[in-house]
Amino acid sequence: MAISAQNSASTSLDERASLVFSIVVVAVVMIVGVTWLRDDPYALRLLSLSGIFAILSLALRLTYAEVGELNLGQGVLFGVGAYAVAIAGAKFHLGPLTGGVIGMAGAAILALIVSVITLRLTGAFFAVATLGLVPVATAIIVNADDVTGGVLGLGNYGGGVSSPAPIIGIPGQLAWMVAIWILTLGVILIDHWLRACRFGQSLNAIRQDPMLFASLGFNVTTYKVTAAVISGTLAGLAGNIFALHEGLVSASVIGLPLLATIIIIVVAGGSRVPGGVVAASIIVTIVPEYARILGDYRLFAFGIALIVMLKFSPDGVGPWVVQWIARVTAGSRKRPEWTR
Amino acid sequence: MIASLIQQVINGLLLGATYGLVGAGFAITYGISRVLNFAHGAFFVVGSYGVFALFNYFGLPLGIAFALGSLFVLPFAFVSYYVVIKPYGPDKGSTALLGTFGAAIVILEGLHRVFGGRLLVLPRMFDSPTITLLQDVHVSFDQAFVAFISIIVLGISLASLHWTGIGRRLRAIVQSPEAAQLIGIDPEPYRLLSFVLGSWLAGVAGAGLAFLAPIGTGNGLNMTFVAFVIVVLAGLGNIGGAVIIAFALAVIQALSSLYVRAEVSLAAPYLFMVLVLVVKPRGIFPTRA
Repeated sequence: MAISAQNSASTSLDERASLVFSIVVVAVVMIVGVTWLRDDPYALRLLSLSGIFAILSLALRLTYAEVGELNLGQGVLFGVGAYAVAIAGAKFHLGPLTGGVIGMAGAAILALIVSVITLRLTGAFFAVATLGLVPVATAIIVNADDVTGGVLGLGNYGGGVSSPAPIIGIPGQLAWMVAIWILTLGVILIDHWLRACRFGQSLNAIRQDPMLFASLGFNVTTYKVTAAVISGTLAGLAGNIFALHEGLVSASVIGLPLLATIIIIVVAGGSRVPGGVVAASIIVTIVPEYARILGDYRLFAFGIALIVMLKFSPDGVGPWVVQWIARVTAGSRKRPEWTR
Repeated sequence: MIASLIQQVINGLLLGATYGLVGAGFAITYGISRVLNFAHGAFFVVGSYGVFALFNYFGLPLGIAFALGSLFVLPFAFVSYYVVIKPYGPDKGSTALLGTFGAAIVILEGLHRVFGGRLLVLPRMFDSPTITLLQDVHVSFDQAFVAFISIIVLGISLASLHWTGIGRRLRAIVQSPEAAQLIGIDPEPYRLLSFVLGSWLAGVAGAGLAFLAPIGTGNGLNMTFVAFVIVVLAGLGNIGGAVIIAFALAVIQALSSLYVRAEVSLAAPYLFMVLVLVVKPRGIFPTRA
């Protein structure tokens, strides 16, 4: 039994409306952040973190929704990106850019190894094998403490918001927020492009009928592995930004809370709708911070929310928004069904 | 050196009884409902905390707490079945997988809130000194007793799967749900039964290990993963094979803590699984299905 994507019913969503949704979400974040919240470092910090979660969740979405495989080691790939930056900076005195490239390459290679071994097999091997990365990676981080800083974590590699933000080169929380959301926008556009290009169409075909696709002479595994590697690279990128933004990485970043958070983001936001995932990552990051009533029960609430969402709206909220946008902007042009 | 080798092999075999329960329970659950149950490790932990609660809050003797602790799993398994297993069939693979993931989080986080985050330790069941098998090879009485009970429970479960009418019908559904329905077996009650039985076996394992290792919610995901590895290597749905693999895995893990650093033994099941999957992609005992 392969883990097949369950949301084939919603494949006919309007891609253009979906892109509009994504851009509106990013625009709202940028405008609200730069005008209304510019003197509130705490709120800006939450926006920055939600941007990082958005990138990581989009990476998870890519394998979950487009390939139909659940990557439970997404947090480990994120950790590879984060630790690469930290170790490169603290131990080898390399710049953040070099560390970032190493981190993304490392995450991509790890994703390649795991997916080459498991994705050519049928069944839930991919989910199992990626889940297993978590205890292994935790053991490595905790025990290789001369390199990773062990349970205390690793700091003083020149990260943190007082260091210059990537891309724009200015320090400060506002600059970091803007830089992170520029990167997030880039990842969103890549995600939309991947869905529209020939590669994305092939993944779509594989999800609907892998046998038929293989009978046309294509190698199904190659496409799946490629998607997993792209997803791993993006997870590594999210880890890079996280490490640079926080200024401290520790073993807790790869644990269950992170995994649970990005899974609820992808499921609630709508795994087929990048804009929905981004909006959900903002809500899931910010609401628990202000809803003190959740307190320590945050993860517990995520679990309940996950079960409720799967029961009543397994495709998430995103498709509704996209359909609404499509209805509002309808009539501008008609496209044949097969291009959607 | 040879003594510590024998010691670790024996430790591994004793731990194998626990793994055998976890693996067989997972194989039974998977074989019938065809859903990989992430909450399996959570049920294991429920068993451990059940023993602790009975001993600590109700003041029951340790032996009785051991016997009753695993029963706490039953309500959790019932509710989980109706909330996250039954609504999703095997054709909704990743939705069901995520549902059990949510159930695992809810159970583990709930226990974490009720019992607090620190590791809990039970006193020893038997005050008697360790049994000395050879020179420098020792087994504690608790270890031996837990392994003994685990093997008895495992044996009774496997025997009833093989020789009772209910067990035969269960195995028929594992082999082919359609054919089983054709000869008049209604799969629904058997799905519930197998899920509760499989989960309870994990609870028994958890209740036993509560005497040998600290109790904590961190065991939850680890045990889920151990169960995954066992069942994947045995071939999905192969219950007898799962027991054999469980013992092998436990021995390998014990030996790896002897020859490599102790913490590496956490990674041993993973490396073992990767190696086997590279050589034998369909598992060690592939089923015909």
